[in-house]
Amino acid sequence: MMSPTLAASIDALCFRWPGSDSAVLADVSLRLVRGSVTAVLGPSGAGKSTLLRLVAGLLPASSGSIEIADGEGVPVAMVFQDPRLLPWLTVRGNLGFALDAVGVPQSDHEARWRPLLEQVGLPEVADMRPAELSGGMAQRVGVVRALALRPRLLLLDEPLAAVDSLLRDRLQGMLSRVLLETASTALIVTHDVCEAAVLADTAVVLAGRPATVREVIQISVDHPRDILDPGVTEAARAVRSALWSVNKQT
Amino acid sequence: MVVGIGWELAARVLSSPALPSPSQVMATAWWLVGEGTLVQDVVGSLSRVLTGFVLAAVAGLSLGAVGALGGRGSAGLRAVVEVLRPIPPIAWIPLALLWFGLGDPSARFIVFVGAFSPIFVQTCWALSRCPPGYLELARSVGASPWLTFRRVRLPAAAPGIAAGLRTGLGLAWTSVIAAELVGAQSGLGYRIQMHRLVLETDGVMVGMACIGGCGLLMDLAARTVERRLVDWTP
Repeated sequence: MMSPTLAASIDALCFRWPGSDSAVLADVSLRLVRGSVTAVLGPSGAGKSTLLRLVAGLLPASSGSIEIADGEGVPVAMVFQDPRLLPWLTVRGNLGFALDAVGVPQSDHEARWRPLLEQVGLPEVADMRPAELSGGMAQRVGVVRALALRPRLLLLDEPLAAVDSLLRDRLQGMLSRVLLETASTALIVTHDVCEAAVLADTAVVLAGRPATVREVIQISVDHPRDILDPGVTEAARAVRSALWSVNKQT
Repeated sequence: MVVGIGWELAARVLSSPALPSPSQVMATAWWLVGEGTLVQDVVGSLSRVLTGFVLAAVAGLSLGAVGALGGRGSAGLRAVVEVLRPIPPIAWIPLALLWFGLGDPSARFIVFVGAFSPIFVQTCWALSRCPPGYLELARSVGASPWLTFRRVRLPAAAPGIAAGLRTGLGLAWTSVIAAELVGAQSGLGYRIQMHRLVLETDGVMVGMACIGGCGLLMDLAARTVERRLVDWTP
């Protein structure tokens, strides 16, 4: 039985690709507190995105369990590294496709996504095609698509990796505010320690072959945060130092 | 323009029935239009192309979708088509004449054979090569197989399918002329053959010009429809 304060619980999760002898992930356990953001960091190829895909149900776990707390909305929704907007549909059509998939009546679609589009600063793009959007705008629509499903756990796979550094700073602020306003529980994979320090309440470092949880760092700085806050800078330093120490060991 | 003038001069200098001048070809065309046979032949050929093509499109699209599903049945279907595909439509003419006799049904069958393969192959190929990222997205939001087919696989495959339909239409037009040359009692191919038998080269050229013109117009119409249906492609 999962504690009511938890949104999700991952226990002793292991994964190996079918036909492969070596495991990608071994004995990964995480507790995701309701309304909190957990960042997963680690070297490239450590299995961070694989962990997210396992939680999303896109890959079957070899052993272990993933439990998402009961409640309203869909269990999980995912924001991919690339926006993955369907180019033949408008923004409205893309959001409608996801809502149709989870059985939201057509009459409720706009009420679901309109406020979110406004929150991310894109009130005018509903009838535009993805090709007419910049990379940052498309990524924000990807975030809106996931949030419109009202997931109990939001999964973000390096959502800002493909945008330039200036835009990334702006989008980090936007993402932090939207996650706070929607009281979302989120699991975010990132390479960027500053992103983890701005967005996350907990930073988890995965490393090794097979990857295991090496460090768990609590970031106790009030939201909304700014990259220049001393607490955030300190947290970024702590996360970086944990990554360095893990890198040395592996 | 230069080619036309050169042709006109060459025809006048050679003065051979084998090379009528452009002005003579145009005069013959005008006479055939006035007589009504040219329009009848164009309509006859067009009707065969359209019926054969529509049948090929229905069969090619539906069987192509089955071929893209995967599994043993699909592999068997693809293997059968791969065996039949290299046989040119003209090689089917003797069989068509034995099965359907001289006339419309044979010509329509040949058109069907000519147009079917590219439509089937392109549909099969396009539907089975949907970008994996889009399919992962559909799975991540829990879209049903039917919703995924309707809103993801089919639109993603649309440019490939449209290309197959356009190629099929071109081949349908080529096939109908081949069929009418040997197995029909009307149509542009038949008329070309009749003119050839009485050594009317200008009549043959009128028929050929009509084939080119009709093919071009059909391709333009197909491109216009394609642009509207797949307006999201660059």
